[in-house]
Amino acid sequence: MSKVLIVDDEPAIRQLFQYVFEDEGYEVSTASNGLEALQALAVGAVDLIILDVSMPEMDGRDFVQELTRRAARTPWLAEIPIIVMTGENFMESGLNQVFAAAKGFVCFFPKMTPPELVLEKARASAAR
Amino acid sequence: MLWRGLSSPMVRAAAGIKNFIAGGYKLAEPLPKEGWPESRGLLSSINRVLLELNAYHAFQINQAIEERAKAQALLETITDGVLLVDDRGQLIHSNRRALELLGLHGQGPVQLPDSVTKPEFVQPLRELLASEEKNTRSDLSAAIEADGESVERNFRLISRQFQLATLKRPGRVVIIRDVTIEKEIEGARETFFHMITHDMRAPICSIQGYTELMQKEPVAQPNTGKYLDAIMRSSDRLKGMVEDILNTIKMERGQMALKPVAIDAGELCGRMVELHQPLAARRNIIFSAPPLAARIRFEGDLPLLERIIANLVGNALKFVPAGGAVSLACRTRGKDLLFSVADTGPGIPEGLREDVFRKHYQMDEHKHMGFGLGLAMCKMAVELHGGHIWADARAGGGAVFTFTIPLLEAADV
Repeated sequence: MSKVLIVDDEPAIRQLFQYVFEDEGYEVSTASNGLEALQALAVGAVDLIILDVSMPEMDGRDFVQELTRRAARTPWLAEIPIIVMTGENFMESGLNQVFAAAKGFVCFFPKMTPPELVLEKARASAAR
Repeated sequence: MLWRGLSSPMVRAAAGIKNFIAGGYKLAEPLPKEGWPESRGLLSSINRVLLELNAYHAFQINQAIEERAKAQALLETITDGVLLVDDRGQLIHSNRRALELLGLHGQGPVQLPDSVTKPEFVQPLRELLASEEKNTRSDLSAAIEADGESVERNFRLISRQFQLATLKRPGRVVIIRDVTIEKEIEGARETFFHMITHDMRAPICSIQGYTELMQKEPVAQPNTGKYLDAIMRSSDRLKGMVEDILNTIKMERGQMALKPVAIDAGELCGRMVELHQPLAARRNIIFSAPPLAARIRFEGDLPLLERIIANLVGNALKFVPAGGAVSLACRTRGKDLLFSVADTGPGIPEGLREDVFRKHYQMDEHKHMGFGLGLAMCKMAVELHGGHIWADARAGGGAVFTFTIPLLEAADV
């Protein structure tokens, strides 16, 4: 069974994606910011990360950078596919590049993309 | 059995949806997937729809909060005070600067201008809010606290009407701008201009004096007389400009006192025609003043009246093409004496007939033709006499400028 980690500070979004992925047979864990996500990854590996950009404590960008740093010692961390969900429109191209440079980066989705499309992408990237 | 397998999950689902709606689109727990496979599938779809709605709702609210924060951050970085007011004077939104300037305390509903505690702003705001104009602009000065001291500052209130989308009503954006420095610069510039202009008077008088002397001498060369006339005309024009500038400044500062003398209107018109005839002739323009029906005597400031007429005639001669005509007429109407200068030039578009009297205003096609001071000076000088000035279209094309001078005790003169 594939494992997915949903990282978003908005409970309603976590709840929605948890339900959608569980309904599809995924095993779901959630985190409300980057720090919690790192803690979750320390406990066990996942097959996919759904990642929000702006979050308190540690945002998506810092999380991705930290993940890349940790991958030097724990290589599989860099292999996890990451789907980035964002409410921002990417005006700041620098931010864009931080995500795109990550090894596991799959794609950006604007917030409130229909969950079906996210699922489709998730299936494709898990099969990668 | 079949009925219960379908109906009891449906009853619970219906109750769950009701709770979802009643709870402001929040789903505490997804509906349990129970009953027959068909009902489980349906419940799963319902759950997804409800969760999506829930997430969408949260997202929208977050977006709205974020947009508001962005707008506020922008608003707070502006050094002007900014207010959004609805058509009933209720404050909708503002930045801190506006609240400080107006002495508003953002507790509870704020009504403008009644809630304003800075007295200097109350009346200008009242007028602005009552205005039907789309854009308004007014200046005021107010004492404000700066570093524990009360200082007098100049402010400009700029407002613009806008449509409040949610209320379907017009509101106003009001900007309060500190223009103290601009005013100081403007004042310094005017003083400087005044000084220079003032100092030009003496040399002009000297040129004119010596020219007059030379005109009286026997002519040395055949063209000398012509040259001297040209020098005289040009220095006359220069003197007129200087007088206009100095008069404008004096009138603006309220320092101009009229020196009324008895004037014969017919003589005045005749003199003005005589003065401008050479210029008109050179431009091939017919300039005339029909004789007055009766002798009219009135009281007025002669040098000022001459400048008013000289400006109106000068303008007409400037804009009328060769072959055209300019006429100066004078008549009485009730208790007023009416002077009018009509021309066969291009005329003034209806929408601009008031603007042309504004200081430094120039019609686009007449840019770089003088200071834009002449008509502003005329208006001030006419009003100082208690009269009015306006521009009309001339029947058959062209412009007519008319001004009135009240005939006070003219009958006794």
